[in-house]
Amino acid sequence: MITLVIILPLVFGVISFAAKSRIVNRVALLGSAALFVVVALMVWLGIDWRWLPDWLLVYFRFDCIGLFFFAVMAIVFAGVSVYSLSYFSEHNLNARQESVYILEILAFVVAMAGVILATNLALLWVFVEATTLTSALLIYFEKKKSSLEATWKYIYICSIGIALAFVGIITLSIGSERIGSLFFSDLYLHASEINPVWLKLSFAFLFVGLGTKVGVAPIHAWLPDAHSEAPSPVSALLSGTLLNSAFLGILRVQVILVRADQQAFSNIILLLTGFLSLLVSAVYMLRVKNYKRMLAYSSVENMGIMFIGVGLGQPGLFAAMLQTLAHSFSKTSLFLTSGNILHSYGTKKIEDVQGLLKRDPVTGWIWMASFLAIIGIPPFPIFISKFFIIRAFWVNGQGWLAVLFFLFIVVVTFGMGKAVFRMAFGDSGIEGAGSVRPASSAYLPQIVLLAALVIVGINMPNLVNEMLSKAAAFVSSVPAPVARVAGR
Amino acid sequence: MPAAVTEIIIVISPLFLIGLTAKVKALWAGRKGAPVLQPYYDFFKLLGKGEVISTTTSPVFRIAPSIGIAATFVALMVTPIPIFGSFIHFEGDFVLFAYLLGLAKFLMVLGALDTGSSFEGMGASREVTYSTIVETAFFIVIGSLALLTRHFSFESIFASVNLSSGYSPLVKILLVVSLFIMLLAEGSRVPVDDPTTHLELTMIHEVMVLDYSGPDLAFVQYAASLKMTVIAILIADLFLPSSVPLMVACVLSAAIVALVFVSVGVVESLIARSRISHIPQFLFLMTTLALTSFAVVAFFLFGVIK
Amino acid sequence: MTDILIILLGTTMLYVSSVSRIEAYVKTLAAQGFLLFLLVMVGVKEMSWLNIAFLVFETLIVKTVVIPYFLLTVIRRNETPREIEPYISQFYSLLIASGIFVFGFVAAFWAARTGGNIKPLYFGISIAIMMLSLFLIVNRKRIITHILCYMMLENGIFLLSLSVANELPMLVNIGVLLDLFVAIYLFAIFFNKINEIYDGSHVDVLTELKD
Repeated sequence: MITLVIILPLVFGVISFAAKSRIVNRVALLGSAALFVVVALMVWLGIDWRWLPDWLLVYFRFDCIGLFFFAVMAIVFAGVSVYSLSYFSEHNLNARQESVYILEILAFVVAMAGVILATNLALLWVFVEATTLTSALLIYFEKKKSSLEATWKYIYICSIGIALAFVGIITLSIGSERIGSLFFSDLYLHASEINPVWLKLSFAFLFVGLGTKVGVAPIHAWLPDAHSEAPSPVSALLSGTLLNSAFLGILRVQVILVRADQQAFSNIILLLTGFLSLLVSAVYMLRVKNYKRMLAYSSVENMGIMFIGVGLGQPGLFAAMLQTLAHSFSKTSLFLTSGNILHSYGTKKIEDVQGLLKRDPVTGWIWMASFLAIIGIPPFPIFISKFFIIRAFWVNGQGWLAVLFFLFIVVVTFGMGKAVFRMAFGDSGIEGAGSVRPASSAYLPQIVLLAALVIVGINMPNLVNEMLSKAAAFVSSVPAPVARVAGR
Repeated sequence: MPAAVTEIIIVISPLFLIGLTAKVKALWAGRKGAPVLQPYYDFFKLLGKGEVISTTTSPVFRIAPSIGIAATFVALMVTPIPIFGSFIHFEGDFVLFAYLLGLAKFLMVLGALDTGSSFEGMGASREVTYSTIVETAFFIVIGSLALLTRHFSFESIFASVNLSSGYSPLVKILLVVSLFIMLLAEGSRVPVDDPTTHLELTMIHEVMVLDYSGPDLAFVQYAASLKMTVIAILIADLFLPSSVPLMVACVLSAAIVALVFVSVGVVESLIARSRISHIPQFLFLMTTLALTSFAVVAFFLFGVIK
Repeated sequence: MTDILIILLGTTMLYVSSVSRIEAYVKTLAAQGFLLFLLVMVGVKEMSWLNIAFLVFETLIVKTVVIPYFLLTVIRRNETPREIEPYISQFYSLLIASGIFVFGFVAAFWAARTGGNIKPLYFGISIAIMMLSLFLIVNRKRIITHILCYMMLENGIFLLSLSVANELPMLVNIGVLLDLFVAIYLFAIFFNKINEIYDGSHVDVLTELKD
């Protein structure tokens, strides 16, 4: 099954690139998305296709945390690929441009699947680099001057970051000479034999490197630029899945430290950068003028919350996982909706957008609902995850940090809410209500994602709860047996 | 007896070596050039001339060249000549060496300031600025050699520097490069200073001696070339293997000194004089190289590297 | 012998931080490639011939000849200004660089104390090279110098990965491949697009996106 996930989308992409026909393009894109969702579902339910060859099973494997991140990615990707159809028609792309877009996006998604499923630290690193290179093409897809600037900054900063992550891998292998392998299973099993000093050093380097891709505070410089300049579906994919996959890389390294009982060091780093991310996004949220950049800073904030959740250790982990899920869905919804707004108003400036609810009611209401989802108004699950994190502060006896956390969240909510309400209400500048009506593919994905979030928030299905708990247990210090979910 | 002969040869040779550098430059530029012995003709011509002394100057201006040449001579006495060693040696004599060169420079600076010319004052200020950098670096160079050999006098340092193995090649490369930079700076050669320039704004050493004439000028020029020879001898000390016959050693060290002066000529032909603002960093490179060699020696001694 | 080569590699970085011509940067890059080639020849044993051939190709052909030649031709063709235009003066730049270099030795000393499976100088000097490259990146205005310094950063990392070459040759190869890939990518974007659209290729032109 893993073979399918890694290879089939690339084959589809190449076919659509060669065929350059609109129908083949759609089949390739939606087919790959469906493939991802189906594979995730089958692994989740434990169904296996024994008759498929297992060439890559040594290097790629679904473990419980990988499955969770893969499932999130599959659903987000499905939403994005449906939305892409309306992107194609709104921007009048010809078949050739479409097929280029599809090849690039499939390569990007495969690279992310590689990051999520890799069983080897070096392989994970290779795929993280591959995500940089493939997504850079997508960010430059509209070939504008400003998108070139964003692409350059993105590639340059992330290349340096990834180079430093490589230093982290080298230092880890220096410290773990007796293990002599970079497979996660070996590293986890023999974590206590790694020289702790080199392990900490390696975590610092890997954190800087992968943290650059996550876009966590001191090294987030590329994130607002790239997110605002990429086509909207690509922004959604970047924010909803790319950041997560790099975050998973950090989690996998964090597990090594937890098994080696060195998590005190990494938790401090995670908490510090998490709070710094909150501070940065709170400051910028109040002065940002471009709504796509606003969403990007909101991503910085949410990644910071996840880092805080992981840094709190056992009590915060479930919240961090739930936050990952909820942030991916709601941010995807926000970015896709921002694509509608951009198309209808032709500007990214907050001050030039008014009366969204009058001009385009569907988009307007989705925009409002997604905003409520991202700031965590019940029944959306971010409320639960933020609540759990504040509770975790108390469990850890760091109540004063919870106050700080709450303060930052309030500032972010205020800044974002001011902009969102300003855009939604007011005079639309066009006669008549509902004068703009987007294609159904331009709002269906958002509605489905938000509906899923509401279900998770009101009454979490047992399967979801189990998946989140397993993922959290994988990272926590309780040495849970490495339960392998079937995967082939 | 051979030591005395060597010393006399060294005392005679600087002007020849300067002529050698000038010849290399001329040949590189495709000119025939002045004879190698031309500096001697100039020297004796200047000695035979009368002097013109500015009426605004004090006696400091008069005595500066003489004290400068005397101090440089004493510095030569302290310098370890390959094989023969130095005439004067005691623990810490390299401090005396550095300050004798410093004394000569100090008096030249005073003499330049004494004339009251703004150009000469400017040259003096540049000279002092650069020598602060060079002097620090020189002490680090000698310090790392002292650390390597565990000796504290010039003669014994250079006598035993070739005995220690292992890291000495690296240390030697770094130190030779720094000493060569010091030679260029102290001798006022390209890229630090251009001895042939005649634009006061860009000159350093030459502008300071504008007011000298006759025998005083001869002294100044001779002292400058002697100083370069002394530093070249230090470089030869570093290179010379310890166990070779006397005659071979003499020829070899003479060849190394000559080679140093030839390479000065090559450097002057190949690169242009730096901008004034770029000179400090060029000189600071010497400090850094010396520091590197110091660190390597320290590592070697602490057993970090073997 | 390896240690001598490593220290020479470190001093090339000091040279770079004291010069002001872009061509000197390119030549230093070539010199670093050659020094790395010598290091591979001297230091790497117990490797299959295929691996060694690959490393030789990377260091001698790519790092020493192809990339510097390519950069030189581009610099000459584009008639870009030859000065690197630092933000702070060269003297202070060299001063800070020396400080970082000393820190590299301290790191080497520290590495020797902690007793990892590494030669201390490999670690110290490569850390110094990486920090120096990062320092030069933030301290130089031209985009071309950013690329040059990125290549130097890669050289530092290559040096560090050589220290584990005998144990994990796979790691070195992956690093090399990615190095090549990113280099080509950066060049492609830079020379085909940035140079075309923004003339002068100054970092200051890339300020359209900000808050």
